[in-house]
Amino acid sequence: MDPLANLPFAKGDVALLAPIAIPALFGLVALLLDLALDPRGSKTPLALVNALGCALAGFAAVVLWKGDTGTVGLGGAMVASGLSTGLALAILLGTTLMGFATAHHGTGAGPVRTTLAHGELYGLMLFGTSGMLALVVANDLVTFFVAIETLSISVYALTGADRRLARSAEGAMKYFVLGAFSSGFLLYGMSLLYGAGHTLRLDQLALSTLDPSLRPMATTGTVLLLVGLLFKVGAVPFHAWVPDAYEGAPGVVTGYMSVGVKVAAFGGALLVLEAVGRSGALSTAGIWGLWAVAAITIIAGNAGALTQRNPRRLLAYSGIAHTGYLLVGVVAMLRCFDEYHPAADSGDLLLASKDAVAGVGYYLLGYAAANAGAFAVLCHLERGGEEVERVSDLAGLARTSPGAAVAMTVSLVSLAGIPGTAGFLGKLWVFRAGVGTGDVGLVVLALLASAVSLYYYLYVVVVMFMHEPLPGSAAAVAAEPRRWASRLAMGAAATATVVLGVWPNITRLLGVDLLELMSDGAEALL
Amino acid sequence: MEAIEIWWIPLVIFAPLAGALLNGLFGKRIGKGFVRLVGVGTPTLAFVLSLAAFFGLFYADYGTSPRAQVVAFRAEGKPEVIRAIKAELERRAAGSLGPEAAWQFRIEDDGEVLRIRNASPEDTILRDLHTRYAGSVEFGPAHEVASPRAYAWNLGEWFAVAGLKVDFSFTVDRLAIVLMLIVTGVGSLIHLYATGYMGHESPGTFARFFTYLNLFLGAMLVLVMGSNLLLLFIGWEGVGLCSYLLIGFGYEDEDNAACGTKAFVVNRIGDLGFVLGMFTLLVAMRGLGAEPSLDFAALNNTLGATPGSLPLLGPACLLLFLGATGKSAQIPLHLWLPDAMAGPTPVSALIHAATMVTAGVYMIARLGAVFTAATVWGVPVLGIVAMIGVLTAFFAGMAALGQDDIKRVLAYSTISQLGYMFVGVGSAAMGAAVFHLVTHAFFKALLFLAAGSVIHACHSQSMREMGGLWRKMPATFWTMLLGAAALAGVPLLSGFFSKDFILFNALVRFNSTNSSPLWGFIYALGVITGLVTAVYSTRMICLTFFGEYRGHGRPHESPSSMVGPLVVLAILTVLGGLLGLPKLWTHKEELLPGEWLGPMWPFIEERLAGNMPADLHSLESMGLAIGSVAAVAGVLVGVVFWGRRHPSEIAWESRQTGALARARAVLANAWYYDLVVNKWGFQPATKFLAGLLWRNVDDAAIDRGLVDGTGRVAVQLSLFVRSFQNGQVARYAGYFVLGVLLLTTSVAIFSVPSVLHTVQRLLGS
Amino acid sequence: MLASAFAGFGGFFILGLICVVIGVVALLASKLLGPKRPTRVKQLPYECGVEPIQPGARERYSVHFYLVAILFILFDLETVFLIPWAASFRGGVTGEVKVAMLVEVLAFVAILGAGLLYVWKRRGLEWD
Repeated sequence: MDPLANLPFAKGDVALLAPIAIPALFGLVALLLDLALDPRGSKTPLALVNALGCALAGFAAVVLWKGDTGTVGLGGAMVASGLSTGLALAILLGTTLMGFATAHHGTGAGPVRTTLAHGELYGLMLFGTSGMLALVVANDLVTFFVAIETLSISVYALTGADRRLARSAEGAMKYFVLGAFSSGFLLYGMSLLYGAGHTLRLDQLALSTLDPSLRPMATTGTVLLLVGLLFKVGAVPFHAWVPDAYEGAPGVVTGYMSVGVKVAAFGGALLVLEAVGRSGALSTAGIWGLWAVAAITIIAGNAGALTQRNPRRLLAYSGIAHTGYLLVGVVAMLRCFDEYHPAADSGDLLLASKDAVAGVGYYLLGYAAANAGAFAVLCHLERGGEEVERVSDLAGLARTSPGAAVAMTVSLVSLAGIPGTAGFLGKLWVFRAGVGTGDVGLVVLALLASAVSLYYYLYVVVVMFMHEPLPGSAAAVAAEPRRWASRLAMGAAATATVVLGVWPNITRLLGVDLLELMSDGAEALL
Repeated sequence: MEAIEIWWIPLVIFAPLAGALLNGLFGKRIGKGFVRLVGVGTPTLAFVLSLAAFFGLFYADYGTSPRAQVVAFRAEGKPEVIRAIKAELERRAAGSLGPEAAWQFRIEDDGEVLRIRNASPEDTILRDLHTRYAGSVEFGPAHEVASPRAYAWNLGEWFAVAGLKVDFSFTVDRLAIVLMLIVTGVGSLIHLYATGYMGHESPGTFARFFTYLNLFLGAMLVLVMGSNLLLLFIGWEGVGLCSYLLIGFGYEDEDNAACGTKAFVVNRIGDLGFVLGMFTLLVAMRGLGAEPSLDFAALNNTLGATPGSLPLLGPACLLLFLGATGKSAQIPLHLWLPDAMAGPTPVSALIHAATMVTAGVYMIARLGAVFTAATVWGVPVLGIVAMIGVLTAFFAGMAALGQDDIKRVLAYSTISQLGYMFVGVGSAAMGAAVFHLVTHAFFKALLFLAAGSVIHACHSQSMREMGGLWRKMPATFWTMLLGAAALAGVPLLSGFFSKDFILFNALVRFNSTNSSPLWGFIYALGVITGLVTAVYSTRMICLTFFGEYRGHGRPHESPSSMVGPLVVLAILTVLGGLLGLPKLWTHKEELLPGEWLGPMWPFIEERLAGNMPADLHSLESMGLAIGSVAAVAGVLVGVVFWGRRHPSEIAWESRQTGALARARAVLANAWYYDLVVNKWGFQPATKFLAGLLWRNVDDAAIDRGLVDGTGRVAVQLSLFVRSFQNGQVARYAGYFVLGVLLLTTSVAIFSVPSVLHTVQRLLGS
Repeated sequence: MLASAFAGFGGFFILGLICVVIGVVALLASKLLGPKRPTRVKQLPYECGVEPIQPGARERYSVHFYLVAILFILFDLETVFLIPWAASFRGGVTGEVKVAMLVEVLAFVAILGAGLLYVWKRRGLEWD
């Protein structure tokens, strides 16, 4: 008897793991390569290893993960569709760009005040990326949890990567404690869900009919599971760690987690919510609960950002606000499972929900490019471990380093959602879906909040372009020609932001049709 | 029309755009040599590609030699017949050693046409086949039987909203290729000229100039090659932007910047009309029950082919025409073009004479079928277009008589000549208008560049400070003389043929059945304007080149990079007439306007058929005679009055008081139109409105109420949100638990059906 | 009616209530009921029944202590994984599966080795 016949999955399925395994492998390479490098020199070889790993993983994802039906593989542990590829590309884009942005960290004039070890940094970033990629294809609550922990532990460690910096350690500790806390809720929710649905597989859960008497249990489980995910994406009231961790972590890590963790967690959330939504475990009440979370998150995120003067804290609150906008899309996606919806079971509603999935995917892609761009600029201005701590340090950047100022402006303008940038298309798409499913109130709130957000984004632009440089500030000593890697990161991010905003179809020339990926993914999911 | 996909079509646009990018990014750093190479090289590349496209189009319809012609079979509505013919011919050609072995077949136009390359209409096999299918099948040279070939390339979908799908797609058909050759050809010459003209500038300024100039070419090519009205509009806005940037090129001088702003603002009024017109067209299409589209083919084939008149079509076309009056400087929006002369002279030549300002004419020609079908209260829109055109031509031509600044003479002359082009399109003679557009591009570019050469030498734009230059700058003199003669309409030069062809068409309209007597007025005023044109052209030459030199310094001939383009353009100015020799002489269709462009507007021909006057020949000979007499008379008047005399000896130039001086002041100020409209109408109105809005709306309601108020609320809210963030992890965990409790309880409460219904009523829609 | 609507969730409310009650009761009970007779030995920090190495719980240890401890646990646990593998490997698998298992464990050991190499080169194994 062939013992392989008893394997729970087809042998060929192992290839489906390639996009997840490649970053981990390259993480190991980066770790060991760093040993051979000059400890105080530039770390561009590591950035190149990082980029190569991400590129290979992205290529593997494009080749292996696609389609509009969803490929279930590895005995049901994973399911891949166009959406997985789209989100994987967003995650890998973030990791690549932040990898470049950090290549020169700690170099530059003046005393070195950083204890960041680049090998560990790149290694952990790639290990975390591996977990993120696993999360966007998870089809099994166990895979799901393992993925989420892989990425979380990497990010906890990364947050405290600058070991001797009290702020960094403090941020890491807070993030870790609260993260462990949220993992508890996540697990509790999963166990309740398993109890109600008798399966760990999401595709089976989606198709199962729940015992009516067990539905409250399933709903509670779903809500607790969601709490764990809402924590990861920084939704109010589970957002408290975000500003402290964003501020405490080294700029590059903040950039990495603001992109990767959010994209991956939203990707995972879409997969879980489809299952719990279809099976009725979430119930209409749960959708309205999410509605409320979205509304509070939008308000609190934007309100909090208004008076921030530390760029990383500003971007932290901005990230919370964006979580809110994205939740609008998530709510719109769930509407097609809403039994009490006035247009329930209509084709139009289903179309709008599919639109919402594709919109969320595209939004995340644009968000990844813009946020990575903003953090790349902040990394570019770091000197010897000294980060940009005040917006006023950017004063006059347009004069001393026009490229950086333009890249920052493009990123902020995209985050604000101004036409001509990826942020605009993403918002347009998501909000249109929201209107389509009848959540007009939420969309109006989000639009008003976006208008408010212009203030704090453009404030930074005004400071960069219209104020005089302060003596000794980051902008005043900006010119340092050797930082080509971070220049590359800024330029690439800004280009991506504009391209995705003006002419997304152009990616077809590279063999990847992003719009098709998104709509395929939506088709596969709903 | 049958469009073949050719991938390199967008390269024509990308070449100058890439040039702009290179010069903009690196030009300043690398230096002038690089800028020169890129700035002239990329338009030349675009020109070469355009030439290739032209020959492709030409050979596709006419064949490469008498032995390798292109023939076609056409069977309306019977593709099966065409298929049968093709099968038969392929069978015959298969094993053959005769000329039929080289045949290449292609079925097009929804299967109704079979095009055969390398064949001859005399071929017996083909003729036999034609006889066999006689009655149901047409046969002959492809340019007579098949619809003209076009090239296209679609870069991808731009957006699709509410059933409207717009692509980034470009089409090169017979009309577009004419404009492309002009834009890239004349454009390359002017770029070359500009390397000399701007040679003294600093590397940064030099690079900036060529960046803008190349960007302009790219935008102009988008305008010309776009397959839909929206792409045309993008190009339209792009050239407007470049025009603004280049008029205000010397922005250190506030006057220049103000002139740029004026051009920009006036054009915005027109653009508003354009956009509204575009929307109205879409509504009109929906009204027909057709799928909304902005593709020219769709617009012309649905709106233009609808018999009778759609109610919305007239207003839509009038709005589009308002856009055209802005871009092409026609009454009532003509006032910006003379001020646009603040830009460097190559800019005036390229943008404000040869290319951009003709965009309005091109747009109407593109939408020829739509415009022909449009009426407002029974008045054909094209009649309005022609009337506006001829009025503009006359008033601007008169104004040119009163100018001292040589560039302003040419500016008013351009407005006047554009007026002629609108008379052309207004007479439904789109080909005639495009023909004049082409010859005008040659001779007006030549005149501007020659004037630039003179200005370069004299360091002044005033003709009062010139004179006697013909010995000092012989090349400039002779070329400019040819240009001015062409402008004046001296017989046998290009301007003569194109202008008279337009006026001949107006005359034909006048003599058509059901014609309005107003066409007689249009024709008469057109002829009078021709006379005026000849007078001011002669005046300009006399004041500039004859008599004694009245300026400062020692003028000398310009460098060869400037003279070279002048010579080329002068040759084109002389020979340009060959493109449209009158039918009277050749007994064939006019080359460019008839033979080449005629098939572009089949609907117009159908609409006009039956209205044509019987004896076109005698009309044409009469038109030519009248035109020649007017031009020669004008030149004679000019020579008699101005000749070699000093301006102070000429009453028109020197009188300070009296009726003559007052008349001259009226013309010098262009009928005081600018003063009346701008100073007494526009500015007080905006001041009043601005005051009203600023004090009551902006300051009180928005600033103090909305902005400050919301600002205060927002800041309080922000501080409230921040107050939760006290840094203690235990507190954060507390929020977390509280959040979980709130979320779970609220979900539980929402599960109560009555609560759920309330929530749904309050928050859903 | 309200009660019936909540019926499904009722269990969770009771569960939550019990959690809170148990927590509070346990703390209160030991506070109120427990006898308090402190001696010197009882006040000592608990260190697995031996005398505290250092006097007082608030002394600082060198961070290397933790580092070495963590490294030990990491490698120790990973080595434990090899035991069930070895048992299965000997337990009658053949052919393709055997090769696959060997390749897998070699990859596993290689990753471990890389980790060890990294720690070594970063001087994590040295005390100073």
